[in-house]
Amino acid sequence: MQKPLKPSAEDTLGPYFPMEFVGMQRIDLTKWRGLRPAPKGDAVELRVAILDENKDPVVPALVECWQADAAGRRRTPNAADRDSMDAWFDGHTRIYAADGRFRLRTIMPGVSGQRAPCVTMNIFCDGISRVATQIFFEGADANESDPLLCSLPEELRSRLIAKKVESEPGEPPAYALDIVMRGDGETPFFEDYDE
Amino acid sequence: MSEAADERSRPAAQRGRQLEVGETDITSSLRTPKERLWRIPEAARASFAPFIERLPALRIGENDLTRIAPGRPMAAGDVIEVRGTVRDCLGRPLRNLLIEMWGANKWGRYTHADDPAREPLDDNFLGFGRTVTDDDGRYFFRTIYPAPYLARPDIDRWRPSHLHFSLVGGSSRLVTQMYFAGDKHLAKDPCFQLLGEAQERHLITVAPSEREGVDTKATFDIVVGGRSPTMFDQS
Repeated sequence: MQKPLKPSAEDTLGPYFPMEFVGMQRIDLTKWRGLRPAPKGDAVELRVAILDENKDPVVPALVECWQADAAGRRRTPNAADRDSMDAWFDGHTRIYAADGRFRLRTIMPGVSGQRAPCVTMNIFCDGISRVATQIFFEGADANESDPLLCSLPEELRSRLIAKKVESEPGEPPAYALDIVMRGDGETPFFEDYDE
Repeated sequence: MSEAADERSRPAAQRGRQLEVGETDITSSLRTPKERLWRIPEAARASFAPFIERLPALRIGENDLTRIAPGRPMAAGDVIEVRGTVRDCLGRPLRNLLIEMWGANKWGRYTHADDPAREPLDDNFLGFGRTVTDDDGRYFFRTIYPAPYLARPDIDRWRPSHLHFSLVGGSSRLVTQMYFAGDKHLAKDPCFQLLGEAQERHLITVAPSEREGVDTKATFDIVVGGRSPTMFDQS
């Protein structure tokens, strides 16, 4: 067997990532690119702020989100029932948050086995290489037994759980979370690289 | 004592990396987590390998940064061709990866609205381009040799010539930088110094090009590390 190759190093996005690469960003996954068909499930709004140690917004931030559909299935090549998955939901978006904040309208992800509803986020900005975490939803019963949440010290778990906040009448329920990159209230980030 | 409390008291070696603060500017010291990264339980591991199956449709010539569009005038500066192969740690080529590349112009300025540099802009150079790796994991860009620039006038710190690369596709994800061997600013560049033992893998050596209209050529091979690129591999 061939000797494993040494990986290229992850590096900062730097301050000059061309926002043109993101183009027309999708901040509403409850619609499929303006077409009539829509994904199954209940709409929710996720309000996220990315903050630095001083609690100032991280500007600009590039955030890539990935989640399961309403039935709890993530779209991967080896998903067992791939052909019966929700055709109108790919669960992925890439957001260029020029002011360090964004609102993502999406579908409440379903429970999947032991996994509670959650949204995976890869966060990129100047001054640091990619960091990854997952955001959960306040009030979901499955949070109590989610293996990722349960792997953290109890006092840190709430830092990954978006709190239910008031939304406008007729609008979907809203959940808000500050992601704190460093210092007081620092968000737990996860090692998905070093194996 | 709960299981989770045990987890926290584990030795650091059983946690993930401690990310290092880069001294490029104050953003790094305000944004780099103090805590080590946390290990992901196996039951959650696959959910940390976002799988991207839809890539944007590219136009002809997006990998040629020397012209904004076919038929437009040439950008100013030395033309360099950069090619390479993208692989996983087992040496297998990674195909259908979107590579986004961006860099400064001949005078060391980005077209980005936030670049405060006083160096001139070039009306014929946007400084960013895209391509997709072929079945053998290969990519190719033609661009302008990016000049070093004074990133921190307050402390006279320069950034060496470099190009930024972002790779995404399947469950691969990597943002990295490529540098030019022999650049006199490398020794004092915090980004380059942070690479440590990886430095040599991020240096390219340019050679004269035999192609007409092209000044130099170089090879930059990229390895996407970790288990994510092959998380959903069916082969």
